[in-house]
Amino acid sequence: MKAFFTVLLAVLHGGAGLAILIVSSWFIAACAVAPVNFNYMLPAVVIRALALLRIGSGYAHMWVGHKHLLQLTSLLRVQLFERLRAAQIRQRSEEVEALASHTEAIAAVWVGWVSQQASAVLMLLVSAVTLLVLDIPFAGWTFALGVIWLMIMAILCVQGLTLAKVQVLQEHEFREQSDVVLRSVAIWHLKTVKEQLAQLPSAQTLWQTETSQQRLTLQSMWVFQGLAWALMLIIIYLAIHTQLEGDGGNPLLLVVPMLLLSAGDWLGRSFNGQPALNRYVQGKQALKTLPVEPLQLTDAVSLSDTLKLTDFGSVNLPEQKVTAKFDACGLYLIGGESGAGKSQFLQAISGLVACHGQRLCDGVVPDDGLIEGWLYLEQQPVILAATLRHNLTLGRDFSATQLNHVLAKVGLAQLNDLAEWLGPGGRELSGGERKRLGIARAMLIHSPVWLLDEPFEGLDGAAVSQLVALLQSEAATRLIIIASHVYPAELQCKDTLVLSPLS
Amino acid sequence: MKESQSLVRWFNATVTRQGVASRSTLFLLVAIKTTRLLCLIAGYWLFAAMMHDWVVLAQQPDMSDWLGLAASLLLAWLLQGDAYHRTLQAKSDLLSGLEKRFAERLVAEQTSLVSTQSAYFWQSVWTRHISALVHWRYDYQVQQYVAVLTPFFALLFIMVVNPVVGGSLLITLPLIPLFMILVGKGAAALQRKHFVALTRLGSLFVDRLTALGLLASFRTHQIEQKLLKQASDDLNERTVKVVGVAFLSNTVLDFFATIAVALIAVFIGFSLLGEFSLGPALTLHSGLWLLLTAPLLFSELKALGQFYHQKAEAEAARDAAGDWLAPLNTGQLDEPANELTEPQQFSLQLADNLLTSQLLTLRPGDWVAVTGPSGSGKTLLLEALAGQRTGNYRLPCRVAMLSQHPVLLPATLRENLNYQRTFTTARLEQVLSDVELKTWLDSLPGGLDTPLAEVPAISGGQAQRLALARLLLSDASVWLLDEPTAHLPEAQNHSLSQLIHTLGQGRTILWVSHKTLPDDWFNRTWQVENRRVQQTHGEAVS
Repeated sequence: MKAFFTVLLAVLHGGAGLAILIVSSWFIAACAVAPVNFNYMLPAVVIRALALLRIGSGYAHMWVGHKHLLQLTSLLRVQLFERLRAAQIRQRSEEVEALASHTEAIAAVWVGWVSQQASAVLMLLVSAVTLLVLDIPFAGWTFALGVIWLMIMAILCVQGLTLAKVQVLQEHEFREQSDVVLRSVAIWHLKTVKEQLAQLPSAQTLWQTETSQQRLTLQSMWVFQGLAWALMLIIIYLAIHTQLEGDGGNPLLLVVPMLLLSAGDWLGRSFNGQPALNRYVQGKQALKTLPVEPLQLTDAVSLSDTLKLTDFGSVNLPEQKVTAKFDACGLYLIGGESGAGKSQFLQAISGLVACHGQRLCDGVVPDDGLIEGWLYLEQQPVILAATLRHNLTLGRDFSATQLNHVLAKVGLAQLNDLAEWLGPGGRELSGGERKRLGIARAMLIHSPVWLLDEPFEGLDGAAVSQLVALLQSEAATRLIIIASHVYPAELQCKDTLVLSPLS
Repeated sequence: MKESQSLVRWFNATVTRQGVASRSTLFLLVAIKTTRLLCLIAGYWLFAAMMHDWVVLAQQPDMSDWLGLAASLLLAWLLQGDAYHRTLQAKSDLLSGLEKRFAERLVAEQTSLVSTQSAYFWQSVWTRHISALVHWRYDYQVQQYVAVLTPFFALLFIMVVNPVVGGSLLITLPLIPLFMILVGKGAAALQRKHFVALTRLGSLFVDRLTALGLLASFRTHQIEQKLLKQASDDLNERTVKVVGVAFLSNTVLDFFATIAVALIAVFIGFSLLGEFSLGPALTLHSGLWLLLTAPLLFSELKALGQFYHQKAEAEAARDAAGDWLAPLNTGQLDEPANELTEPQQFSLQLADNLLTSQLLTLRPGDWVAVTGPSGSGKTLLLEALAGQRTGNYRLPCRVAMLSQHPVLLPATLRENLNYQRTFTTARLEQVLSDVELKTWLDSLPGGLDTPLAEVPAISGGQAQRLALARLLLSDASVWLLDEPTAHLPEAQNHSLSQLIHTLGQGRTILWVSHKTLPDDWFNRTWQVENRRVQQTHGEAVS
């Protein structure tokens, strides 16, 4: 409904502008000729009314249009978020970030493209029909103008969308190519300076396509402008060289030449909408092809005795075959150098990635999937852009006393303002603080299994001892498996399992 | 207004001055676009004359007028095409110029610059920031001049034809910027008022998308979804408040443009009827011309409004990448010599006192242990010596650096080793056996031509040995080692250090290590503490 209203207001805005110009010029001509009984008050009022209509509808169009854009954007985003329940996006983080602009681009097509095209079509149609009905000289020529506009517009759309597709591919290629070069910066210096400059990625092809896009839009406007003026010149030429009896002296003669002379102004904007259409198509495509990977959620399982793994591993590492036994309470260490698949192994235990082999809880095989309460705690836990309270509770109900108690226990007593905003634009936590916050979250929901990935990485000696002490005491009531390539001396674990590099 | 000044000033100081974007191109574009509008004004005059003949005098228009109109419209049209063409050309040139500057900067500062930001950030310098500057330069800035010049000329002619209309336009014209500034101030104040909420709420969607795993683990997806819905409703409400005012700026312009045309039409009409008699006598000729020309006072300003976002984007580009688009100092990219031949004596001082040193000596063949707590500036020292930092000294020769993270390219083993130039198979095999990877090489299905991606997970130690092989292949006689064994387990650490010691004989070595290495390997020790380098062991400074 709002979308329709947006378009309607755009049509009113454009139409009123055109009408002012045409009525005004006719009015001047009529006054100059001044036939008897010419009622000059009415057109003067109409002109002023049109002016007010144009100003009002212009503002209303922008206001309603953007309100609609915002609402549609948030609707699309919430729908997308719903679709991602119990799912993960297998894509690089920047492509995930791009989803925000994609949803906006889809919503913006109404203000950015549809409105312009609709008002162009309607202005053309209404003026042609009105002029014909009123039997205004040269009325038929507006149809010619309409046909020209339609043809140029069709070419622009088709070619523009083709170029937009090329652009997406080129951008993808550029990213892949530049990724490799940028990630290898540590060895650039081995090449000569000349070779280094030559191997750097270049965005030239990308920019060339962008330039072609702009050229296409500008050319469309330019050709349209030229043809409209040519039509006008032809009409006047005909007027000079053919005898149009009885027509001279008619103020209505002015209407069609005026329309054609100013065609570039009132139809030119419609060509500028092309980028919005391209972004819309790209956004739709991105949402359609989003690599969503479903996550199976499994209810909590009982684990009071042992967790047994047989030939167990992540599906991403077919060679990984680990057989091990863990007590329901206690601390275990998974060692091995980087590349041995420690993270994958932990994620497979939690069910965050699919596994092969068998996991047996108290002798029972639980369903595949992410078991409730089994937490994989990343090297750098995710801190939500939210208050400290929300970061701890994740939306559940806990009292302030409970939260402060947990914070003190993990050694985050210095964070005492639960309403403090964390993440970008708020308090930035250090690596160690983030790890502790991650543990605090796990403590609050009394999670029975913690799978910690490199918890000691990036911590100094004192912080490591503190963390070890905390883990040691928490391991009394739960199973804690730590994957680490550093083994703090004070860490006492029930067992150590070293994963060897896969080969 | 002040902001735009500084953007222009920054651009002139860093980009224009060294000849990447010439001002003459800018002014030529302004001249072409302004001339086009003058042609248009002339065309309108002839058009109005013909309409006068046709409608008022009821006679056929003059053929000479028609020819004049056709000529002026054709000229205006050609100038328009020319302006488009030149704009695109100028943009391409500036894009290439800026890309070259940026590439040179990356090569000059290497790791010390590239590792400070994500690959995505650097890619956006190419894909977003450079082109934002270019668009701003050749759309926005050009239009800025045109939007001032056109009303000036149009008003001048209107004054000549009809001082009454011209005078009243002259009085109203200054009101436009006045109102626009008022509206802008109001919108900015609202924006400031909601700023924190807008930034926080605006980032929620992406933030929660990147936390899907966490939300699934804690089973809080639905709670977050509800929250997201509330947040976006709140965000929309606030945004509408802000833009509702910001849109008024457009409306002000629309208001004056529309009202001016409407009032001029009514004034001219009534004058023609003889209701008013102010100023020179009007005819359909002059009246229609006035009606056609008056909108030119506003249309270019409106066009400027369409480019308005470019300014904000260019400012963002300057803030993000501006420092790296400035030209390099001369000589910064000269090829260094291969060998270190002369003993070096220097006291290092980096820009902004990032790192300083006492007078240090380095002789060819020295082995220097670089020690110090983490964060004290050891890596900085190596980068400075390699010439990647702005400072008063760099080693006058080619160096080879080895860091804790070996670089493996997604290519074959051979291509990885041939990174600097192509070597013979025999040489590559020799080097691989030097770094004790011969057995590993023999186990590879495709030998040297095995793509590294297909090698099942290469271990950290093996990867570091490959990186070492690259060092052996390079011509550099100075090696800068930055904790090459930091990420390796104890046993690997020991054997790799031993290997480096053996292979590095005869070269000049600076070795940063946290793990203890035998003292007798080194003839000097440089201690880095609090960004200051001192020699604590070794032959005294002569």
